[in-house]
Amino acid sequence: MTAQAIKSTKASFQFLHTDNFFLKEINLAVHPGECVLICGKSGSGKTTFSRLLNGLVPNYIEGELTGEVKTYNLSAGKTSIKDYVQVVGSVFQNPKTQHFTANTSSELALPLENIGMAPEKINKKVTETAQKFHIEHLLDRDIFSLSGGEKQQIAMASATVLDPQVLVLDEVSSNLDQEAISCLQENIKQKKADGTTIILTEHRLAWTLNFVDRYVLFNSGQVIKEWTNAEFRALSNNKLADLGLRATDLSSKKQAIEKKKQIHQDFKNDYLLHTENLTIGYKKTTVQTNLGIGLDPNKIIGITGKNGVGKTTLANTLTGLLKPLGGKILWQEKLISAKELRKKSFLVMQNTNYQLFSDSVNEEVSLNAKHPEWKEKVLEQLNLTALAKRHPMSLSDGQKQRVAIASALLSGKKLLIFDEPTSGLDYTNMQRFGTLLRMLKQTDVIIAIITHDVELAADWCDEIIPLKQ
Amino acid sequence: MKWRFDPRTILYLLIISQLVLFLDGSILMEIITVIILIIPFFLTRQLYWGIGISMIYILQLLATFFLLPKITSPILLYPLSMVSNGFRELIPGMIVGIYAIKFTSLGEWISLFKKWHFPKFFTITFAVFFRFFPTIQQDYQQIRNAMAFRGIERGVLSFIKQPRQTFEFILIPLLMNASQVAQDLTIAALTKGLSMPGKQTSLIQLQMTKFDYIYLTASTLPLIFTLGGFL
Repeated sequence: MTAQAIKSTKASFQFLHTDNFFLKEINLAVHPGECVLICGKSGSGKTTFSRLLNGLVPNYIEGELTGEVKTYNLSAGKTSIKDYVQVVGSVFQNPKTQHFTANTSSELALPLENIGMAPEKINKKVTETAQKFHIEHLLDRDIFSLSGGEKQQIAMASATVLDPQVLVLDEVSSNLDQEAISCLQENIKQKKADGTTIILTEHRLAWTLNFVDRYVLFNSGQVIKEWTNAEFRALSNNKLADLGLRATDLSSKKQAIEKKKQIHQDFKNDYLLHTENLTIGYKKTTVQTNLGIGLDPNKIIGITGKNGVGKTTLANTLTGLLKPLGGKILWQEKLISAKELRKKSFLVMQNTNYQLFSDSVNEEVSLNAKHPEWKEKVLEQLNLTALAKRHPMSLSDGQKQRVAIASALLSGKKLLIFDEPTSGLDYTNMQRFGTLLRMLKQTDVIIAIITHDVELAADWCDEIIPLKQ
Repeated sequence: MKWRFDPRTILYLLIISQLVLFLDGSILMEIITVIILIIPFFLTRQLYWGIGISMIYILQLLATFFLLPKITSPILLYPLSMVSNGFRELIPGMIVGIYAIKFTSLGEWISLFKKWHFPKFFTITFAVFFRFFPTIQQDYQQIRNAMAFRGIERGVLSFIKQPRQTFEFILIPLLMNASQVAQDLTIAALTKGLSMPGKQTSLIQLQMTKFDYIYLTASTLPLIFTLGGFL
């Protein structure tokens, strides 16, 4: 029998200072060259398991490991992280926080420099890797000026520059749009063709069907089920939903979105807020022209489009952070200024850490509240009553998002725009967010959502505004 | 024109600029040094810096030689003398500081530290420190937007009216986010072998060019002439 690339034998893991085992008796073997995807709800142990494979657990993220997890001849907890460097490459979820340098070429060179490769060889290897991934145009650029998708491609190239035998990709698609995902897909196929063993953890599954060999389902730290690619393809979207997984067949969802497209019309009577020939952009750059769109409290409106097409600029203009470059924004048929819009609106950011300022949820929602008398009710509705005394920063991302919404409602805001609220969410949490949208629809607040989440747009939005170049 | 300085040249220019300040020799030596140092900004069309620094320097010179002798009131004399005379002498050092940002890259500095066998903790701290600047800048903009939506005052006035609260509102989200970024970065860096023992090499190979040699020579001349008693 040939040696396994990865072999986990009765592996259980308990984080430091916790009482229960988080991973429970995991048995999993992966052949060299195989591509395995681990799916499951948030908190099911996918990421923690993936970190046993690159040695981060339990060496850096501490805890107690029983059983054995081997990546080739390296054993988690017994082998030092240093010894993993040349065997396992890793890419993580957030494109913004995994590059160590400010320049793309330096970033690709970093692992090579760290192992002490000769300078001429480094140069050659960096160029080769870039050519292989078709990212020569990204070399020698300021990483901070790249898009999320480009950053993720650099991260991928940098993780494979040492030609590792194993590649661990931890929710790498979470923050990317469709186009960036297809670039990433090509890169992964390339590595698979080279014979690299690839382990992915993912919520989004549709893009993985044509390269993953085997799917493994985790639930509360255990392996529940395994499918071959063919078996997994045969699962219907409904069956997947029952398992808490996202859809693999997005064609019906895409059709639904097509049908929900907002038709340019005379918005006068049916929409509380609408625009006429709106031009948006920054000081010197025009991003979109001639926009006629309508928003209304009775409809949940999705704003979709590729990265860089101007979704955020539109949100910033509608919330009054930017002034329109031309055209009009009308609120109940009256022209409204950027300053008035700013008072009426609220943007729920993708990273809600930026918008929480106080020591407790109670104080947070009361800060500059216009309707403090609504507090009890709003906290109740948003399922925050039990958390009222907690520090906002101690909450989960979903809870933080709800605290931000509560603060907006209590300040009497009439327009709520969400920026990518479901990126990185599993099926269950995405549905939960959808239910929250339904509830908000009952209020007199306008709801709009910037999203690249096909399922959210298809299942929970009433109308879609697709922005095009 | 692509004009770069080697970090070693910049360190040398820094020493020269300090010597000029320290020797406090003839004003001619200072003026010639400043002119030599300003030229690269014009040659690389960084007119903002070139013209800006020239204007400030000329104003300071004029004030020192034509305005100061006529002022008798000590209340005016001391502050003006500090701005026109004291700050003026710091100009060569400031220019070299700007060079460090405009004519070299972070990678070149790190390459130099590796070449000179600086301890790893210093090199890594240095790299992370500069890695965080753009992050903080972006975060700060987001936080200011968030404050606008919450109706929290965020102008210059608010720093004067309620400094403690304003700083708190900006600092708390900034630090919370920075600690998250730091954690993610550490994890990514560990998997890329930042903690590997042994000598680290460098993609960037520092090499002196003719510009470096021209500037090493040119910036030394005024000093030599001064010490030789010609200026």
